[in-house]
Amino acid sequence: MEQILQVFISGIFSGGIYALVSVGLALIFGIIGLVNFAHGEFLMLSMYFAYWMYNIIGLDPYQSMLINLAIMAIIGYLTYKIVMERVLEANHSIQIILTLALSMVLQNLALMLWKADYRSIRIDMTTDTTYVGFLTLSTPRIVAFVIAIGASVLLYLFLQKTYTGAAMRAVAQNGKAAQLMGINLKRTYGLAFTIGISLVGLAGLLLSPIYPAFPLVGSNFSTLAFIVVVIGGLTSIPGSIMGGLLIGVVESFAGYFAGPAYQQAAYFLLFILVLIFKPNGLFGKS
Amino acid sequence: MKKFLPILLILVLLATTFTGCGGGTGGEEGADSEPFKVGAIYPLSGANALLGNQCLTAVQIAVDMVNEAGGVHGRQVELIEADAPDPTVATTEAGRLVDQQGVEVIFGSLASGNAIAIAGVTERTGVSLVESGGVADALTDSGFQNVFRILDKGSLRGATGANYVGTELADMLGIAPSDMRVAIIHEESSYGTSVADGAEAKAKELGLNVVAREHYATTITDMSALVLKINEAKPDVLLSVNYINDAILLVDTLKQYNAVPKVFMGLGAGTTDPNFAATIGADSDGFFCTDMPTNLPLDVFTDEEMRATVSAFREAFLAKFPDLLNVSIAAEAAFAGAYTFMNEILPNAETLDPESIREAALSTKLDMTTLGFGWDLGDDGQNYAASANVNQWQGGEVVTIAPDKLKNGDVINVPLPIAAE
Repeated sequence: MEQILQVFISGIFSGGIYALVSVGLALIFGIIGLVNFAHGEFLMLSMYFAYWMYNIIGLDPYQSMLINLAIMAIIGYLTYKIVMERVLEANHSIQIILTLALSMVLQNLALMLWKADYRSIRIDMTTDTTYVGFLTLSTPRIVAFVIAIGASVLLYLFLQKTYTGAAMRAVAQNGKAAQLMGINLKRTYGLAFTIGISLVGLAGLLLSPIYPAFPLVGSNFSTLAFIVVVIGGLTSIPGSIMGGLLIGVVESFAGYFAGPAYQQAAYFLLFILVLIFKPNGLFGKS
Repeated sequence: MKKFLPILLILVLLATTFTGCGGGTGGEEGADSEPFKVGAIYPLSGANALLGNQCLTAVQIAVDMVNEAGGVHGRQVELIEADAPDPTVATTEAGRLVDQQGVEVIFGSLASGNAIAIAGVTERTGVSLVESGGVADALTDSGFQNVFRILDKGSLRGATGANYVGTELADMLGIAPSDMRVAIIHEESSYGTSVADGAEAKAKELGLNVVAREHYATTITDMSALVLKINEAKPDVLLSVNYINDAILLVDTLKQYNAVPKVFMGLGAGTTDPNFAATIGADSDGFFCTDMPTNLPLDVFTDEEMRATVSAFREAFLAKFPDLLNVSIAAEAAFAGAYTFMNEILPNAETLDPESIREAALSTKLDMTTLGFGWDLGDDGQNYAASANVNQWQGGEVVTIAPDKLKNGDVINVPLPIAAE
């Protein structure tokens, strides 16, 4: 029983990070209607920034969190302005090809500029363990989980409780009607994209003490993020949080009972089952 | 500017995607005959680009050396490179080199998956594939006629590690082999599987108890479940086949769950990578890494000419990669494969047609190559003179523990000081 609880908790912790990677994707899709295939590459960029902050300036990822968030927000906004804004009216296939191209450009630029080396941040906390009763918990994963879930919940509250959040939801429901009510459509889109990229940036930062940065690291997480978002109902923020946690737990149990080779198979199976029985996702509106 | 940006984006995309795919050439053309074309297929972009580019440089140095000494059968060697980040591209690029460029020998491939893909193409046309990176057994067990592998094969490497555990470490730990509990973890590609198969077979042959065997995809991001599962089996020894990223994640997770076994026997690739000790730090002291010989002291090479060659190669290589302290194991093997084949094997071939080359490759016996072992190919194209060394990390350096003739240090930290009680 103790072991089962241990496996469950380690799954929940991984799930927290998956949730944070995914909420940004869900936000961008929900509000702008844009499928961002370059999402994972922003995670990669943030991991590199965290690495440089640590290696050049000596700030560990937790100390450089605000700077990192600011940089990622700027990158998000610029990407929106320079690239995404042009295809808002275009059909989905053009948007998809554009974000795929952006993903390849970012990956290959990273390969050219920073080479394929793995860059790890080793702070004292990297292999630190916290004991809670009989549970052995990885300290950086606890921190990552708490901040990830905290940020996801804050985003949800922002969307529900603030005027800007309400405007964003209005745009998601009906862009034209929202515009007629005086909401600036492009500015709302820009804000949604910026927040989405900042959140995936935060996920990258929280991962950086646990997992090395390398040019293709984003692809390890982006497939997962897409699965989480689909399971969660595409546009739903609570859905993405729950979807992330669910995938984390399923992955962990599959790893423990069937073996790590079946982790991916297990969440793909879950993905297929959800698509068959709840095609709009667990939290999607039919 | 607005109109210009998408065009710029497309140009950058094209430039970056196809960087390295072009046919770079090296060597000089012979004055009175056609150049002898050889290909080099390595991952020059993608996750394995770092070592792939080092291997290409190593092959280029070998080609330069051979050309300086007069070429192959009096013809200058022309090197044509190709970028293969994965097996699919490896197949297309091998086809391009063989059908369009007319290469007669291909050097490769770093990854076993790529090697098997390339062999499928070279076999059809009789072009030789000289493999110095991929160790998967399937490459030489599939009946290919034109594949020649200079380095040991995976199952033999796994067996070497397991043999050392059963014959030497059992004594040091004071555990009878029949009481010794061994767990095997490996990444799931043909490389990891071959090595693990060899290790498991040898362990069982020696009467060790294989209490767990697990495999995983290298994209794994959390090894908690794996470590919890392995830890339940309470192994004394962990035989582990990993790439670098997963090797570090594994050791970190073992430490977090206080599940480090008494002995950690790494079996190539990740655990031999300089980044392994650099990242894990002092705790890596005592971790074993069984791999092909690397950075042998020059006095191992008793033949003066070979000693000079190895020394010249190391100097030329490090001049191209000034950040490195030592030549990587992958680059040493790539050089050995290319240099030995062009300098020792091809001169023994009557002509440069596939049959003569195969005959020369199989009939030539060498006591020593630049990797420290000899050349003695079986009918399957595998070099049975190749062997793996048992090495151990000590103070951030790889120290060779066995075999005795290549040994340059004694075993330390058995059991590991960070092992669980």
